Amino acid sequence: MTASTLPAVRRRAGEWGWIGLAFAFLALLACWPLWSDDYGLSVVRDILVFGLLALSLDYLWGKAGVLSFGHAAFFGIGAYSMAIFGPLAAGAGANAATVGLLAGLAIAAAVAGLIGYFLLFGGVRGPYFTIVTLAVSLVAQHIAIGWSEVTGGDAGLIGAPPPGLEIGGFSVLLFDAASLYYLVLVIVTAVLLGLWVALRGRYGRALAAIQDNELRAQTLGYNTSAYLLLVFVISSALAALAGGLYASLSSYVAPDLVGLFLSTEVIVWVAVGGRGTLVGPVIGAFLVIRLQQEVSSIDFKIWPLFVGLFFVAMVFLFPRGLLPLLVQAVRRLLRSEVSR
Amino acid sequence: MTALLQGEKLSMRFGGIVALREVDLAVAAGELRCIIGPNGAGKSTLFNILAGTLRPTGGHVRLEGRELNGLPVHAFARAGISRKFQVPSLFGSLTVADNLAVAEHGPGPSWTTRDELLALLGLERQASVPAAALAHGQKQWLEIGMALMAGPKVLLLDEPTAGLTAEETLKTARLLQSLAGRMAIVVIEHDMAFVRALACPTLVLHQGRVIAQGPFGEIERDHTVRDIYLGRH
Amino acid sequence: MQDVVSLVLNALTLISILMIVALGLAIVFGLMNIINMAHGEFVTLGAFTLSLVQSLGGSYWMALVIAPLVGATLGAILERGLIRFLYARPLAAILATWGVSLIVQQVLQLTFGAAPIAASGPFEGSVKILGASYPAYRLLLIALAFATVAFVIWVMKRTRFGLDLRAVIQSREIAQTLGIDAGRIATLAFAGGTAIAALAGVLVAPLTKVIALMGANYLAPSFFVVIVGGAGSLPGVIAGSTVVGGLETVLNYQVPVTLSQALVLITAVIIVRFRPRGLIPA
Repeated sequence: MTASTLPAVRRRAGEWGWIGLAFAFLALLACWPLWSDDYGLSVVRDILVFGLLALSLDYLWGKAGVLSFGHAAFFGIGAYSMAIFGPLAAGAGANAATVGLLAGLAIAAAVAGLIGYFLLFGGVRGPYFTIVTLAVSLVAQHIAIGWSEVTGGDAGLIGAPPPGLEIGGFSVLLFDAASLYYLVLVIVTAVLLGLWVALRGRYGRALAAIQDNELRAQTLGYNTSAYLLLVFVISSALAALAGGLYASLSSYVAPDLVGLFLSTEVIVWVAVGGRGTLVGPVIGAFLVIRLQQEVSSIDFKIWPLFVGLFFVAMVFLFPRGLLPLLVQAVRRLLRSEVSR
Repeated sequence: MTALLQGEKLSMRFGGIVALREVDLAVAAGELRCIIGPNGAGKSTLFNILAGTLRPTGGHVRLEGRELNGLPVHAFARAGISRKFQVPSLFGSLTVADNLAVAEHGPGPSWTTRDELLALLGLERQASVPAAALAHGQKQWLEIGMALMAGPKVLLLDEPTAGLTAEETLKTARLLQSLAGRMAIVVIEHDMAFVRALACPTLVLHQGRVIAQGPFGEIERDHTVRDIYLGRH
Repeated sequence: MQDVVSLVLNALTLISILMIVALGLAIVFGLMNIINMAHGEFVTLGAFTLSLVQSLGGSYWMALVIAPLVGATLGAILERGLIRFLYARPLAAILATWGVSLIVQQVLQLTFGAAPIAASGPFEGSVKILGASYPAYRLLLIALAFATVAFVIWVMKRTRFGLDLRAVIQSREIAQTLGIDAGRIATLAFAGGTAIAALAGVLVAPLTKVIALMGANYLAPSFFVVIVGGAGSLPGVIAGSTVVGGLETVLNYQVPVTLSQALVLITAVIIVRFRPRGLIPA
């Protein structure tokens, strides 16, 4: 009862570390408007949207072990759907952005469902799957640039509707910086909480099992292809949610929102924050984008070089992520304090 | 008597090599059955077909008369066929208790619970240890436990005593005998001492064919079988 | 008639390009299960070699010899210095080679700038074939691509190295117990693959804009070729190139380029569903 329960306690302690970190992080963000001006709010808000994108990839890569090089494509589907269908739905009044958002979610889920069905049920896994998602990203980028009658080509599109809601006689359109900021914060918190709760029990255990040894999970009766397909579809829809939010908030979309480079950067955010930790990738987005601003202020051309070096370093030096190393170090420090 | 698990004229060809030639097998509910044969006799191929991980090039697999051919692996498991792999195949990053929990599907076994099973397997003290940290013998037992948690009608065990000590082997034999009756158990084994301890009806495979069948005592006295094991063929 | 001839020749040009770019990728993928995301950058390096050789007064033919040497050297360095340590971690290999790809792109861009640099073929002019006039250089490209594929098939089937290589592809362990130095074979095969990619760079350079980021355009299509055709199989590369290149050429006559790319992607994905190991598996 004593010795055998130790690892479980330690494991739970590890989880509590992340929960504490998530709580502190979200509390800090909730208080941020107290001492920030509108510009500061919009900067943090945009990074949070990218944090949501990182979170969506972590659900797929961290929790199900499927690495996608195509998440920017789904982010782009969400963003472009907002900029294309939003204005078309001007008749819906304050609901225009909601229409654009739902269209984006539906299209992203349909595309992911189609591609995911053929690949996953065809037994395509691991590196093969990653390669096809890379191709998806490239094709999406070409469509965004090439199909200019619809997408605006290189120039992009302006006029995505601002977030709002209209039910019966009640109507609200969000314009001011603080409301928009809290809207994003609430959505990110809700998705974070939702994924955490969903992945705590049976479902998370099944995904962990599939990631560990898929054939074994199959012989235990799990339809693993169906599990992975569902994760891929939901994760892609979440990426589209982030994209739709981004377009609605900035009222503007451009082809770099679907590019392969954005897909690459999302992977960096997740890797820095620690894959599989959910809140880590959101924080990772903050850390990396902050660093990006610093580096780019010296010379914006050397940032991709930085990212390239990062990938090589990560594989050899910190395969589980940077933030987990930090969390571990803090925990070790605390424990040695306690035992002293 | 209709068989619970039935293999009919099962054949498997890999390119030009025939691994299995029209093998017939019928296992009744609650029966304990051993399959023996030298290396390359086709034992693992037969198992992979019965568990759905290989699709036979000829023949049928039926469970309670229902055709299973062509179904995906997970459907075999759902139908009631559980399998333990030859090399311990666990979810190393999950705890022992979580490994059992993952294996529990739908109603689970009616005759035991996760905690009882942990006690039966002698693993209650390791419940929250990651499975990768277990000793070899404990891994073999945990894997049997995982197969049991699915509440199977048929339990397929591929060399359950590989790498176990003589004492552990005997314990495993006693465990299987206590389980027989609740479900059908089919065991592939190399270790003759273990098969002798099980004392069950035995089927001998050689070069992809069934060459003998019957109680183990008789099989052991069979000249052809002895010749094969002594390498005179 | 003329239309049909030029359609066929256009298809052959694209198929040749795909084939020769995908060839090295397929060898490396089939041999070591390593997806080299920096493969496209070796095409870029080949094209830059041509440009550099020509700007120093050298000829196209000279570059055709030098570029594969450059590709082989850098490939061997990459294999020994990085990829060697990642054979057991395929996803990590993807990330690391992706990093290398970004680094090469940026170093080239910082050195040579973002604007296209000059590279030209050995001759200009057209040839009349069955009434259709077709650029002579493209015919050379087709001939060289097929010659390269034939050469690689010869190496694989008829030389001791090819035999060892096929043994390693079948089973690394067994090959090693037979005394084959699998590590050396892996380095050589990888260097061979990147040499062919650099050669492909020389071949395509006169037809395209030579820029630091050009490799990305070849990466995804050549992966399609490998996935559709079958990893590690030379006949698979030919079949995959024919399907992907033929389809894209035909579609380009009917629909806008962006749509044809999307259709090729969808076709590849559907083929994978029904032939998970490719059209002609190894």
